[in-house]
Amino acid sequence: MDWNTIHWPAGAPAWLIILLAVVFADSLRRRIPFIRERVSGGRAAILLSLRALLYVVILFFLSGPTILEEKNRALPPRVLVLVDTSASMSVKDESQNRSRLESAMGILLKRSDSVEVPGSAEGGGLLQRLSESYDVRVAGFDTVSNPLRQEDMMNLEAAGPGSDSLRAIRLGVAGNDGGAGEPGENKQDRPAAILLLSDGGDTAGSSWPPEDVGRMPPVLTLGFGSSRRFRDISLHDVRAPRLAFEGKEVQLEVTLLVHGFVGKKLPIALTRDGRVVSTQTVDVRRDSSGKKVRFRFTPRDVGSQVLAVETPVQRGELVESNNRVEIPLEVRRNKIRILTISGAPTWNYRFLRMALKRDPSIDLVSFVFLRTSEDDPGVPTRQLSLVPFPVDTLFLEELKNFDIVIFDNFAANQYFSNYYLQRVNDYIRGGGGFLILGGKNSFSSGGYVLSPLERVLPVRLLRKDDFSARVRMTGKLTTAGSRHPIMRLSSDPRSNERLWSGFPALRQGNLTVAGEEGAVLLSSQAEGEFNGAPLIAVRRIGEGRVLSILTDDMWRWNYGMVADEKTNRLYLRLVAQMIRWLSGDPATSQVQILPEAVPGKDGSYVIRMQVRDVKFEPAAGARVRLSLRDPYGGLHQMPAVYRPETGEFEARFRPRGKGSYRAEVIALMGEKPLGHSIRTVAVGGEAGGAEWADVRPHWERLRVLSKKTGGVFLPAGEGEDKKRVFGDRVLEVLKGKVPPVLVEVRDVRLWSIPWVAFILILLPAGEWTLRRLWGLA
Amino acid sequence: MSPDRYWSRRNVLQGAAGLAAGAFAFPWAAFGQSGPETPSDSEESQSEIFPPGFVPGHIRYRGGRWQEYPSALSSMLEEVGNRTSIDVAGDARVVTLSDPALFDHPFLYLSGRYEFEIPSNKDIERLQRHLTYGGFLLVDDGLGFLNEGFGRSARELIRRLFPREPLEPLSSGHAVFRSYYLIGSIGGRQSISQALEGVQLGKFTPVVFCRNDLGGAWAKRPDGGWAEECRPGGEPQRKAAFQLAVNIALYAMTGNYKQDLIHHPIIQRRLNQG
Repeated sequence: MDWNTIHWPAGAPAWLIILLAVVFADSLRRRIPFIRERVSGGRAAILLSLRALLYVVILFFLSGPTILEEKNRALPPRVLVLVDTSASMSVKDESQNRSRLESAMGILLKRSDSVEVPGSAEGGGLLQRLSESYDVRVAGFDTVSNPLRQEDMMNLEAAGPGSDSLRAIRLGVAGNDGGAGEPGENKQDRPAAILLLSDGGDTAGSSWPPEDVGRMPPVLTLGFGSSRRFRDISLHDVRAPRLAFEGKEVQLEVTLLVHGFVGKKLPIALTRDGRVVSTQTVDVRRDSSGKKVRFRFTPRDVGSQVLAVETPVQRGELVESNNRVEIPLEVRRNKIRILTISGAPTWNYRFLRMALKRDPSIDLVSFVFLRTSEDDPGVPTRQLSLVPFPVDTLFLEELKNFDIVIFDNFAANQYFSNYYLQRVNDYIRGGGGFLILGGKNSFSSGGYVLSPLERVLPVRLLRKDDFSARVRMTGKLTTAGSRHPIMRLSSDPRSNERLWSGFPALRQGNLTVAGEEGAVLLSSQAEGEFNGAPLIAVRRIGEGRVLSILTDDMWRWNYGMVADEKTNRLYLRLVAQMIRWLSGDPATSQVQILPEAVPGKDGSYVIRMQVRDVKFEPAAGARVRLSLRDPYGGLHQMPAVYRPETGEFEARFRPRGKGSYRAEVIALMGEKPLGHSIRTVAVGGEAGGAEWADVRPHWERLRVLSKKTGGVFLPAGEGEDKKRVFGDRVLEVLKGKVPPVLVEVRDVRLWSIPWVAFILILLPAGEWTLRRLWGLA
Repeated sequence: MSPDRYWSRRNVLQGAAGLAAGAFAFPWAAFGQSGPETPSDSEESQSEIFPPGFVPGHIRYRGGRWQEYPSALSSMLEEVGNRTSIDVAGDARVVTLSDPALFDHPFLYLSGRYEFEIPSNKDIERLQRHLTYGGFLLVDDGLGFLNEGFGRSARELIRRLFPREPLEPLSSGHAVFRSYYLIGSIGGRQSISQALEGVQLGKFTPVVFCRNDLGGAWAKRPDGGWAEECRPGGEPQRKAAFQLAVNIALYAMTGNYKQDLIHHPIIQRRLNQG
């Protein structure tokens, strides 16, 4: 027992000790005259001293004095063995053309084919010999770690998608060697040392040594891989935008890393769907130095596409899959050009403009008729900011340059003839988007009856004025509306319906009846005598799209929401979705390919497609053709089959390898096209990936980790010390770092020591005896 | 809608044209509903049949005097209706900041001469939301002093509405000076300042502050004459006040429309011509 280790980790609260001290002092003060009256001065002094000493001892023990006690325990120390099972450990740059993992397992298990393994020279494998002196736990790790049993180790594969050895060490230190549950500090499970078998790969981007290296036990690292035998060319570290715009050049950059091919001239190609877009040649002058390779590419097609940078596999290369890196690119229209023509300044225009102007991808050209021929500004035209309406320029020359045309409460026949409206009709059929908003200058009230535009509308016009300010328009989602991309304000159908029913009622609009062929009613009047009258309707005409909103009061949806919900996000989303549908955005197409190919049981994969009719109901009777271009340029055609249980079409194929496949699907109902879609589909995850970017042995990381933790680095593959048996060396080093007997240190409360506690009893007993002897009760 | 407004030139012409064509049939007929109200119906029922697009909300507040000139806004609306294609109401609606109808009126008008009680935090939050999501507030100071009377309270209200966005003079190139007339001077009953002040939120100015008492220049007596004389500029100053009213109404309803590129060359040419 070392009294120098006395300390006070915890005791009774200070206020209690002080209170007791006061009580004891007072008790002692009262006792003094009582004792002195009955016994002589010497005896009184002895009795009072004994009582005072008792009080002091009680207060002392209440303060919680504690001493440290050390005990030697005979339990074997725990050693955690971590085996790197990431894909880079499959590189065959060890002797006898063995992989790094095979070499590691040879050392651990002493396999029969591992004759050359140094650890095999003495009886069993390293693991068996360790177990004789230590409590050994084994775990495999890549980006996660898992405990390994003996039978697991016999069939271990190096296939992990990344390497994070520091995470595995931290989990081991925290007493969690890969088992389930969150890691926690558990001193009993903390390993006394860690044996790390790895090539030093790290895809977590950690700093070496890590900041918490001081909290790690000694880490003995065994380095695998051979810098001398390693030969590889890799392309990695892609720097490219995910999003690009049609016709706008983008720059792509990848890093080329070459080992063992100094003096070679390497051709590097940029490909798109297997076709070469451009090439360049890189002269390799130095080994192991990263070189940036840059390409410029101008996308011409809207949609998702896969580019790839690749270089041919060279003779003697150990890893082939990292000679190609894929670059997925989502290409959007450069700008959506919108033309709005408003019959008068209205709040509908104000809030629609506000919503459109928020989107930087929209290029808005708007004309508002600020005065009519009846209005008198009272000043000459030169004092006004008004500009003439360029009807010929707009309708005869520029119309084709707009993606969407919006007529907002605009009575076209007051300004130009049907000849111009026929141009709008042609524009729509040719692929344009057309939105017509209601108002007293729109639909029948705006003179569109028998005009060329009437023939393309998704509603049937009445042969009389159709504008009314006496309605209370509460839009109700139709069945088709609940599925349509314009109306989907929430992905959950019930929530979507609730959102729509929460919109404030509108107070004016145009009363028409639903259209016929191809027209789809998305929202209709929900109450009163106009029940069922269209509020929002769409129609596909030729290649184009027409959207009719039968009111000029839609701004109340914006402001009503602001009043009730404190935000106008739903109005903004609705406008954004209207614009996406009108501009023909692929995401709003009736034909969609789902992004992930699902693996089947027999090695095949299934691509799923959603094919909808104009009402966005599953088009069970559609003919669906899928063409698939693999990452190597091969093109495959295959039929798709309808699955009634899911309402989706499926096409099954057997892939040539992992990677991104470009799928293109065309769906027809009879002879009428429903739409088409192009999408990049991932099969079995991304080809290559971070693990393959740099598979050189990184022993420098292992060296610094061992040095900082007080461990030792041993290059297993190279066998630098041929004279000494490798397994002996590991055991010897481990013995030097981890003593065979653990010293247990624990806190011992002073009062729990028996002879100390005896004092507590002795003092009052002594006092009591003396009092009896001296005649005190 | 006031009777004057109902029998305005446009309404009469519209009615005549409709009758001449013999096709003035209302849509509810198709749905079996009774016909339209007659012109002799009350003002209230008429405004329900054709609620016009531009119905300013005139803010009523506590303290001070919220309505110095009861006829000011109807007179202003009449002129805006006569000069532009805006579909205007006969008069403004009176609203308080706690009124549920506040959000029915994207255009708000706040006027007076005397200090008033700053609204509650809840009402200020409502007004702030109104203006942040597309609304507009015209503050018309009938006294025109910086730190006295109405101006003092109004500035305090604006400071509490937008603590981070100061009230600043609008540049001469601001869209409010070009939204209809090419405005060179700020009219009003008085001529305290030749600048408008405003609070800028992004690219829009949801609050415009005028110190020249616009309402005083717009207001009429019951006999049709002007309620106040405009000093010192006389009738040209009143004319400028109405032109500014038109521009402010159009700015509120079209935003920065006149700053779109397509308008630049013509506006610039006319400005250069003087």
